Amino acid sequence: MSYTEKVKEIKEMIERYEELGLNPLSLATGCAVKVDLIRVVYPALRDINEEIRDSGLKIMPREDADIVETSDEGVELLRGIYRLGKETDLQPEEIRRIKPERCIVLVQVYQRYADDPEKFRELLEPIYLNLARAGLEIYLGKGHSISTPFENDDFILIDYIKSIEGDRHQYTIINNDTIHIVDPTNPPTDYRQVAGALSNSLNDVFILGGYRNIRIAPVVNAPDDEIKSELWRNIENYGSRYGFEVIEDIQQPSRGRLLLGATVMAETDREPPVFYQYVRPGMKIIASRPLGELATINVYLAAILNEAIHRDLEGLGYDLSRIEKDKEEVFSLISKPNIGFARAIQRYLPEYGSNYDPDEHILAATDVTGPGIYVIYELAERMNARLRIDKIPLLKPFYSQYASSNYLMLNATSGTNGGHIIVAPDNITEDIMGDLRREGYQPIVLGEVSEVGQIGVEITPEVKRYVKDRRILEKLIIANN
Amino acid sequence: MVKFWKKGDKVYVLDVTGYTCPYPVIYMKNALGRIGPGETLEVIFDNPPSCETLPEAATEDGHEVVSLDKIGSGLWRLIVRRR
Repeated sequence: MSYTEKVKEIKEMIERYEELGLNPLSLATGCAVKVDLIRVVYPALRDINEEIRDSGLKIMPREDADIVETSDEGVELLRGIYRLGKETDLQPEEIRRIKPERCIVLVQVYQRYADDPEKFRELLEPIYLNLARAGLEIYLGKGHSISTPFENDDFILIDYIKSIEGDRHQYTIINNDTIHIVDPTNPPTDYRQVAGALSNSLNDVFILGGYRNIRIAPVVNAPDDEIKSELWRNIENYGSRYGFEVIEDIQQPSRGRLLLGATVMAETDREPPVFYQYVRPGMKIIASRPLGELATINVYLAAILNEAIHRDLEGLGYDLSRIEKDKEEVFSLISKPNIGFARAIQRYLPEYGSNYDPDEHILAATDVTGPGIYVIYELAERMNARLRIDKIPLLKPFYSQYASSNYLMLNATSGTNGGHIIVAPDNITEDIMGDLRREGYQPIVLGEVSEVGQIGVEITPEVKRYVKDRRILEKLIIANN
Repeated sequence: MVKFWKKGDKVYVLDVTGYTCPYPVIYMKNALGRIGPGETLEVIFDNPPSCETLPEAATEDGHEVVSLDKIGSGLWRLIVRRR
């Protein structure tokens, strides 16, 4: 198909969706819609924490997912969706009726407020004050804040979690994640869009070892009933394909545009890999596979929307059919759940209630999504350690470099439902990598822990080829710089 | 919807409010391709990372960044002169 024909085909697809009130080409790809944690979310939560200090409501420090000690019966999930700000319809009486132990929170705020910590606080504070007024002991576990370009699409979704009574001898790992779309050049109703979004939600559960009794409480919306029905069909297919239970009878944010994701739950009889205090110099940092899925999608998008970029890429040996093939490959990769990763790490985690053994167990694991390679700095912070990174393995280095050098992405190492980073003692590194290979991954050792007691990431200068975000680069110690 | 119009003599406006990365950069490149050398383009946007990507992308392509101003809550204007 020629460039003109391909552009025409995509434009016709866009027009069909525009008639239904949805322009896929205005939606951010993958995880690119998160509210900035450092500049906005954390300062706002710090202020709110002061206000609720003497109540039973506790906002937990950031973790990849919430870890709850449960019986064989796991947890019960109830959902409420409310307005943000002073006009909120969340009432303390409702919370007292529900009696939750924990809350998983999803906040969607208007893009223009998403850059202002004070405004963000104003929107959230009335909700958290009302939760505190319920007078119960409640832990706010995993929170997730995304932005929307549409002013009236604000909401807060709270999934109330209650452990079902019984002898507690396992963990239920709970996470929430949503995206707007994975690949805007394919129809939102393409199975892989939903599959990518749900797999992305599950990724944080898998890294903590959750892999049994997987349940999905979808968060899904579309401006049109026909699209919505198609999305639900795709969710059901995804659930039955992988044997995951889908909770269908649950409240949905029936406002706004496209939203794909879920609160997901999985159980494990192992201790999750959050043993940061046992970090030692010489421990290895392993990636389960190369990173940077979003760069290929964004470069394809740019080639479709800008003929000069298309010509430039063609001159570099990348014609549209080649880029499309690469993009489709990446899109399909994103749409597969990483349950194989959870299976692979099981034997390197202590049994429930057992202690960490530095000769046998994985110390920490995280997934690589929006922040890309920056997750390694976040790991360094959690471990209070200095890390040395010698390699940045990328799925398609050409696209990451092109996206970065043309400022299509400030961080072209970022992804959605991406690879994973493991920190593990040297003596089990080869075994872990062998198990990951058997599950279909391409693991690679990126570097190691060089020092404990000081936070930092020393990284190869190659990083500057793929990351232009000054706030990220300033945090890294770039070798020979 | 992306809006592009002629504001005055040799001055054009591109409104990409409501768009997140990578769209603002792509549409700015498109718009700069449509105006003449020495003419200026005002880009209105509300995507915070574009404060970094738009001026850098314009400079990288050899254009002159005249100014970048915050013109409202979460709203910015970048003025670029085409090379």
